[in-house]
Amino acid sequence: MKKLFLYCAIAVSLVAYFSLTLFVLPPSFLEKPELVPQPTLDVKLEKSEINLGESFEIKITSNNIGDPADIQIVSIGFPSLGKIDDIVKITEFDFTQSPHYVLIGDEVGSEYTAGLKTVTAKHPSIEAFSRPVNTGDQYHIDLEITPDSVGEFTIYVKTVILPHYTDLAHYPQRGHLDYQDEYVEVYSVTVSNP
Amino acid sequence: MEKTINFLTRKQYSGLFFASTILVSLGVLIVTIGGSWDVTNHLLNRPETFFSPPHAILYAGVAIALASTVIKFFSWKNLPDETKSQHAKQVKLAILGIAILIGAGPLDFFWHSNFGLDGLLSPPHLFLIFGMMLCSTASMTSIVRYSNKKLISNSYTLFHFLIIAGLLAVLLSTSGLFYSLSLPFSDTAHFKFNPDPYFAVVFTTIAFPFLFSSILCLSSSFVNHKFGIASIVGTLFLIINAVTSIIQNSFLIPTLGFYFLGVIPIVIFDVMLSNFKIKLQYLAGIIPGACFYFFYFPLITHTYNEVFSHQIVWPSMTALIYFEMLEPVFPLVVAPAAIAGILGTIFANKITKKLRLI
Repeated sequence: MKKLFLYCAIAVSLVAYFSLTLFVLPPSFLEKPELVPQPTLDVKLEKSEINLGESFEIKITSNNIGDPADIQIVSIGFPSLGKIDDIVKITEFDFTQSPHYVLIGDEVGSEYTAGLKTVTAKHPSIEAFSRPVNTGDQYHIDLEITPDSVGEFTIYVKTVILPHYTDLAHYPQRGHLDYQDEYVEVYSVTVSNP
Repeated sequence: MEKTINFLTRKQYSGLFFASTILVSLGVLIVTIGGSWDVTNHLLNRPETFFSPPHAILYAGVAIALASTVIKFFSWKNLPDETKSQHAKQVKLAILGIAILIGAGPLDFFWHSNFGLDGLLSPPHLFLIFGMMLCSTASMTSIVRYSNKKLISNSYTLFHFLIIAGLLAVLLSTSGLFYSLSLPFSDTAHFKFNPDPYFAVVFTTIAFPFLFSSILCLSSSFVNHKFGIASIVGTLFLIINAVTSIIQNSFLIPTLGFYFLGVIPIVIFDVMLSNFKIKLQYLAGIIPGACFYFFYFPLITHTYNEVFSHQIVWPSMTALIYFEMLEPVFPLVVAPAAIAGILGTIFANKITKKLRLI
């Protein structure tokens, strides 16, 4: 009798366990997380005109005003440059990961697909990123730039949060499209002969 | 009055030997906890420096294991000849294990310094895990041999609970080795050490259920199939995995309830081992085998994803991908995993016999 009770208890417990783990609980985890992370950028350009040989500073602050996310990337592109060399120096930086330098010809992600679609880099850029990013997390990167030729020195700035669930996960959300088919804010400084 | 040798009596040396053996297991256990946390930390935060909190815990464990091995060696030297010869092999294995563990530290630092962020499967990590396995296995065998008679007594003693540390250290260090050989976390800029995805899936499906079933069965057979110890070992495994791999990732916290349901099959397995005859005990191995997909959540998501899902396993997406794969993966793996579970119980009973406990 005791054995029979034991067998029944074991059978019932196993049925309950497998029912819960295979059928009852999984559906609640099968919905995509309803997370809406939303990155923003605050860009401060020190000067709009300089003489050749002079430097200017650009200060960038990223923020996540939405839900927590896995990673936030701030990309600063230099379409006027062939190489970054000593022209661009990082003066301050508090992102959680080391900055990554993208060179012309490198394979980079495009269309906010986190690398599932890729293109070849057409200009150098610096990517600063933090992971994870909680609501309200702010990170800063300051650059000192000393252009080596006269003319317009252009800077593209954008940020994207991954995984990219909605259009709110990138900033800016409209404007100029770069070679990655991603929106960028465009800043420029006029460099003149002294 | 008992004669003293180098300040202590034989009996005191014997106690010291046992205590240090337990501490070696605890040291290895701390190493495995630090290691598991380190894997999660790499997934979530990508630390870029050797000096991280998980590494601090990991190497604190190494320090405890080292100090305990030194004490163990000196107390062993002063044991009575008969006891000394009984534990000679285990002491030598523990010394070899700790030497490998110690060597892995500078090698790991060198690797980080020269090749940056390293993968899960790298020479220093393999050394570390192999050293852990040697130390933990040697210590567990010593603990069992030392407390053999007390373990098979009818009432619970302190020894019954001390064996838990020994078994957990073996379970976690061997799980660490199996993870290294199966998780796709080993490709770096310098080296491509990721296992073949199909090999990883087959290996995971067989190795993890075999291991889990073996250790739970050993937890029961070492104590003459007394109910309770296997349940504690299994539940502690779940707790450690939850703390190091689930709670660290805030997106996985809602899955804790699902994960801790795993206590049910563990307790059922323990009940079966403590009530059934040997052939039914073998059959009971089906249970931990068939449930391994739940016990080893969330890390095995990455292994099966390589073959069944092909998505980027972001920390926030881990649960979704795991549960999406449940339907195609579970029916495929349940039978081989259950067989591996049975083989695990057979293996565990053979080991127990070899240690002359049955």
